[in-house]
Amino acid sequence: MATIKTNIRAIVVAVSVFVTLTAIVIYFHDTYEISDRYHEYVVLGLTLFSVTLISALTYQSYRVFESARAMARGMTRNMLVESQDLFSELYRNSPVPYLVINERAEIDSMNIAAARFFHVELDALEGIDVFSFLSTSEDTQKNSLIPEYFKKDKPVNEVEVCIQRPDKIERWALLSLFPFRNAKGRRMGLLTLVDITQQKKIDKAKTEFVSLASHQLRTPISAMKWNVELLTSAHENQSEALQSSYIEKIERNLARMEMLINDFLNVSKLELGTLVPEYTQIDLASFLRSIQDEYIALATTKGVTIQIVLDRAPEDIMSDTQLLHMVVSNLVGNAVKYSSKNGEVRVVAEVVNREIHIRITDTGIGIPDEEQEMLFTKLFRASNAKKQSIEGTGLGLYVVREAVRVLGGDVRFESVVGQGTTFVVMLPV
Amino acid sequence: MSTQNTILIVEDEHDLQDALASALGYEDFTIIQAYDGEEGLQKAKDESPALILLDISLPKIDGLEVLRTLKKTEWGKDIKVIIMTALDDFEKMAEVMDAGGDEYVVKTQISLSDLVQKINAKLGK
Repeated sequence: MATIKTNIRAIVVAVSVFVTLTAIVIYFHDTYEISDRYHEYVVLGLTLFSVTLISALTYQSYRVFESARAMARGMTRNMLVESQDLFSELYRNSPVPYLVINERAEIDSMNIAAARFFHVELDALEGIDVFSFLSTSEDTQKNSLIPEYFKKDKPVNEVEVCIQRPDKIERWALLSLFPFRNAKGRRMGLLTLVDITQQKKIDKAKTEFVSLASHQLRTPISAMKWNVELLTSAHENQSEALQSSYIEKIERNLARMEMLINDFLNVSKLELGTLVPEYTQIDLASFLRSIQDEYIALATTKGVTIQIVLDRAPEDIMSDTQLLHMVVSNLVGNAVKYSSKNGEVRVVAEVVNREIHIRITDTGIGIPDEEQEMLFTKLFRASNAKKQSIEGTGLGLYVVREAVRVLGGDVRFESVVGQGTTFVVMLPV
Repeated sequence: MSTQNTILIVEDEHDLQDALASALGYEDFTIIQAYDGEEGLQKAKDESPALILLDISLPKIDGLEVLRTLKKTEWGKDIKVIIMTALDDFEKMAEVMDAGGDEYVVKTQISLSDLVQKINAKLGK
């Protein structure tokens, strides 16, 4: 269409130029008389030829000029379309959740990341007040300030908020909100949410860990202080038996603190990732016997026997003594701790498919089926262990798994509540 | 009717429980021991102690909940309560006071003799 229009316009311009010039030539022809008829025809002919040529050139130039103008207009339009496309693509596919809200704070649109954040379809929340998702369970004062800011046309920058999604799951995010005016002059807002739920979880776990650590360390401190006070206070008729019972409690709590501190130190060493295994030759029999010795006192009080079976085990293995000790000592300790009275703990070492397997079996309380998945999680303790007030930090099995990983092996278990548990540590030879 | 000389200790840590019982035993108090919140509430109802030494973190029902329940009942609302905790947490302290606790002690910071003094003062001895 555009080229036909351009052509017609060019022809019109060329014809008007031709008519105007012809008229001028005829006028001058009539004004200046040329005597010689031959010359008159030559001049008239040449003049008309020139006029036609000028008209043709005008036609051509006009066409070139017009098409250049059209091209420039097209390019500008294309550039506009392109940049608009670019922005909407950026908005759509940005990894940061974006939402555009109207002046009543109702959701106008959201990008894919926002839909993912809210766990809904792209248009599912259109028209809903975005502030209604701010959780009321956490820090309501700060949350209620954000709508106020938006009303006053003030931007909000990276405020930590808790969002309750339509499916009732809570997510943490850094919320920013920039008010702007759209093409029609309406007040709108661009809202971004940076998901920080994961960091929040890690922070919470750390805080819990510190609080648990301090709580757990303080209990033996109190026990020691009070028993020392009882021992040293000048109460009359303190029998020797009574005194030694105070001393026994002091010793027990000292041991408990030592155990706790070891667990905490092991966790921090393993988590720092600075533990590089130092492989040395370990005499398996004496290594396992030293672990048996660690728990013999506890086992004897409970009437539990600890058996070591080495029939199919190699004499020596190459491993890191410290890490291997963390693993086996924790597992044997647990086996004794969670055994019922007069139970049996068996420690079997054997070579299976170029791996050394250390199998620790107990006849203890077992691990409830529904909790088995959580077993190696830091600070997790099985409900039946807690219920029977068996002491523990919730760190032992976490340490076991992390240490086994450093050694390039694997640890598995099978357990039946009320019957017992078997842990198998598999290490490369 | 509360028994003027009876003290109920609700504490899940056996070694702490025993140390408290020994110290108070020297002072001629009658001691009742409970190792979780549920047992604590039951014994408070059955034995009507003059005072309860109540740990905060307890199995089954935690110390704050025990305190709240106690203050709601006819038989428990007048029993004096000293809350014991392993933490010196100010927020927790405010919660204890809100729940009607008379006193708040941090286990690592108080000696047995100071605790005995506090108990005597509470009971008007």
